[in-house]
Amino acid sequence: MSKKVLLVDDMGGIRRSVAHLLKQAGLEVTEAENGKQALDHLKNGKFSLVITDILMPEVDGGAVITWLNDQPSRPKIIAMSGGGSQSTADQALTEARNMADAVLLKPFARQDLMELVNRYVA
Amino acid sequence: MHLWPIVAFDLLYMNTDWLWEVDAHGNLTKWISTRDIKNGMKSRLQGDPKPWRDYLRCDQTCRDGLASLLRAVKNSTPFECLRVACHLPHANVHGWLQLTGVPFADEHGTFMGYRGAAKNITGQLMTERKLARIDHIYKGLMTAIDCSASMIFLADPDDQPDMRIQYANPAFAKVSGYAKEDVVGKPTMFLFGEKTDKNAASMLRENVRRNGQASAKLQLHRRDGSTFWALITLVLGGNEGRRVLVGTIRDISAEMNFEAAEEQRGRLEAIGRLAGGMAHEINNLLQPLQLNAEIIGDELASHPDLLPFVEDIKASLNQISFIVRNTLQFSRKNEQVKSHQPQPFIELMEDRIRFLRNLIPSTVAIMHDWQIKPTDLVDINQTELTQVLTNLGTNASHAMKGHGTLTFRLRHCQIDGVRESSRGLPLGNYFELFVSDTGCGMTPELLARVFEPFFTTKPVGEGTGLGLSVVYGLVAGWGGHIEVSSIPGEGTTFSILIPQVTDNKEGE
Repeated sequence: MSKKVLLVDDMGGIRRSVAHLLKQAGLEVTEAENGKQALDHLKNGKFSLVITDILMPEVDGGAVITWLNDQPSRPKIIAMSGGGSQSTADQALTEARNMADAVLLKPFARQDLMELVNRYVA
Repeated sequence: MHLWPIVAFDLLYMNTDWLWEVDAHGNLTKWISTRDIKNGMKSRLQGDPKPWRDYLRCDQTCRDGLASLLRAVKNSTPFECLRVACHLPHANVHGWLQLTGVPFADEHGTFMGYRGAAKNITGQLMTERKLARIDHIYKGLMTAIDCSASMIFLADPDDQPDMRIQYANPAFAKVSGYAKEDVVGKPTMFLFGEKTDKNAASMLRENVRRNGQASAKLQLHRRDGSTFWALITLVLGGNEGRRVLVGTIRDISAEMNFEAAEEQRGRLEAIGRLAGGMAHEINNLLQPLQLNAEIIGDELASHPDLLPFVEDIKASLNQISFIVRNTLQFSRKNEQVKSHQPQPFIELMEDRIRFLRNLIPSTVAIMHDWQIKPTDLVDINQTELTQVLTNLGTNASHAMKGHGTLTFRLRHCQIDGVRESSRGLPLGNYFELFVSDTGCGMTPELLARVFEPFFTTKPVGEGTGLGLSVVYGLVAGWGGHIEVSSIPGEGTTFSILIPQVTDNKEGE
């Protein structure tokens, strides 16, 4: 049975390209547009890996990561980040990033992504 | 008893308001004003004679005069020009008198009392007191003027057109570099020079002529030709007959530098926020481009003629993300990155300088001057330090056109309250690293903008203008601060403050 990956990003372009590569690698991908959708998926299903953006409207990636960390067991987490913005949430953002297993700095190449994915869902 | 004739009455008369007589019992028996004598009038004393002592008061001003008087009377000797305080209702004197008196005797030689002259010196004494007060204030003011850090001078406003200086305080000599005696006689505006704003100078002259006072911020020239920013204030004082021009000049270079540094910091912070926000957006937008180019590239394996186009897309993407990443580095704040292994700073510097040596033409001499201990530790990312030194070093090499001296200097620097506000750094102990070159230097206009991203003096295509803004960001990331100063034609010095590693063994 193929491993399940939850992919969370508010940008359709990012979801489509990343999902394409994950599916090519034989993974089953569930997409979510924001943190709220992501939490719904996480509560209803089991995933081996969560790849999530951090800054998103409504519930952001930081909240998703924090929620996952509060669970008795959690899937591996890769955070995607566009880099430091000067927002006041900077501190929270850094903390969320630190709670993830790995951080991909946008724009990342296919190789960067697949190395991490292979490491976590091997 | 030795008796004195009445002498010199004529002389006293000239300088006398009253003549008086005291009898052998010490009672004041006569008190005649010299004016009344001329008019043939008699003593104005009324009622029973009272002892002379009743009319005198003891006061601070004339204590000595009263004591001398009492002594003279006790010994029956004459006294001259003694000052006493008195209260004489009949003569309308409530103030001070100057008394001269001699004892007199009858034809048998029996002591009869004293005769003498009195002069009202109340007005004179008040004037003297006032003068003493003025003298006191004058001396105090002179001390203040002598100790003042401001340059203070007096000039003659009616001595046109030069209004030559008549007095200058020590600070004037100290700041201007001229000897005090050389300043006197010079025109009021003699520190003005080619760097002094001509319009502001003539406005100053015009305003003081029209309004009696004027002030201006001007660049003035010292004796050695160097300049300083000054707030000059001119005020016309004195009175109609004898006017005086009072001038003060305050060296405000430090304030001007402080303001400029604050303004630059504020501007860089605003640019940083903008750059950070933009970089974030652009990075997100680049992501699908990056992956899609790779996905499409795979599919084009059967169309090798199209592959170069995809490669061009990827190359552009790399270039864009490089620029965005550097811009982000500029915008970052003190990130308190996870601690690296603290290292001896000197050792680290010497290692990095060896690396830099290979990048810079051998015609550029590299010197160093370490004023810290070899054991002093620093906790910064080595790669970032290399990046900072490489950027500054290659810039310096360009500024020197491959010939000159690049100097690295390290010293300790303690940040006190003043520096803290000017550099936005917390109080504490810092290293100060100076990187100086002997190159072409920069004008103040360039200096104010060197750290701005995309600001470059190089021709289009030869530099992104991100080098120094990256350096700025990296140093800020260390919890430090970078500043630059320069003299066109002589060289440029960057000064970098880096926090020292605090010795917290107790916490471990």
